Amino acid sequence: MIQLARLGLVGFGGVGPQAYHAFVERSGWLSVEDFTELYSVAQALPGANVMNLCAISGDRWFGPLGALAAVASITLPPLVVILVAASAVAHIEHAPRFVGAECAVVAASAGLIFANAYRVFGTIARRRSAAIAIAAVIAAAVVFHALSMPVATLIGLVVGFAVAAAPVRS
Amino acid sequence: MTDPSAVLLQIALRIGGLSLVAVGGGNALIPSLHDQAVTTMHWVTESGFAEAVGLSQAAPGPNMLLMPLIGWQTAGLAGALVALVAFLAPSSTIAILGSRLLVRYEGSRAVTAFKWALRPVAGGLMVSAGIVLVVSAVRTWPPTAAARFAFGVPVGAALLAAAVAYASMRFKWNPLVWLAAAAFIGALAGGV
Repeated sequence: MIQLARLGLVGFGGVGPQAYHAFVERSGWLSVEDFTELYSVAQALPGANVMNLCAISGDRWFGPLGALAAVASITLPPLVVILVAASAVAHIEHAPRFVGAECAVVAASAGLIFANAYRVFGTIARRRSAAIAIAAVIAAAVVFHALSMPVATLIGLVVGFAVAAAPVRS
Repeated sequence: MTDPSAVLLQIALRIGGLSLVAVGGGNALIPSLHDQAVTTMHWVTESGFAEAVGLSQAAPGPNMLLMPLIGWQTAGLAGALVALVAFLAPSSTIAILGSRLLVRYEGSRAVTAFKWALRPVAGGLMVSAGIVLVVSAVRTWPPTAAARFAFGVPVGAALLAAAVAYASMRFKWNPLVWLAAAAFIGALAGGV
């Protein structure tokens, strides 16, 4: 329960790019391997990734009520903040310095995501080159709008499953 | 659109539907939400939608708060809560059931293969999400500055992303440190 209360504070601090720090580095709730596994599941299923991650870990630790508490504590505090901000915000949104800061934060978030991706590949022990090839194709297909994310995810899972289930050549 | 409960029902159904196709995170949903909220249902205006997107990106917390924000603009607090629950309940239920299946059949060959398959997919989606973010940062850069630094902006955004990626792996500090540093740099450069 203390863990769940802390999870609510995590909601203020952030989103996907920060989840690794919150779940692994700061709290020690999950090992790198567990985090990668759960985050991969959360990402492949529909829904917002970190919300899924909270639902899954809350359920594993405390059952369905834990899942509910985890999702509520990560969404409700920032929801209050954002609704207050939406009522209060004047139109500073278009000031160049504000937009510049916002763009830089977006680029920096991309950096945090790249670091997370690097960690994911670090936990793949077998057939790493095949995994990197699949990931590269998926990333290229999505970036160049060749495939939508759900379709790319599905194809990637099927190909990956076939690769992983294929017998190892001795 | 006169009956408030009918509006709430529409929000619940349409945002609940989005929840089920939301693979790849909140940002991937923005175009579909735009179709529903602006083009089809006229819940919000074009500029109201853009404002909500900007706010949900800039404010702390998950980007999926865009859903309740649109609900709030449409139907007040009730709209926000309905949108939040409609977006979270279907996908969270699926996530919990899916994860329980994986635990129950732990160690079976199919689950082992499936878990292996998840990782390249997750890695690929993360890399693409990162690239999309860098591109959107470059596109929304203040036009006056962008005109002066035609090549500086994309290179700067890419360098910033690379620097933050390296720093966050090298030092286990709170990532807010890197985001705050980036905001400072961006505010300096944005006003040039």
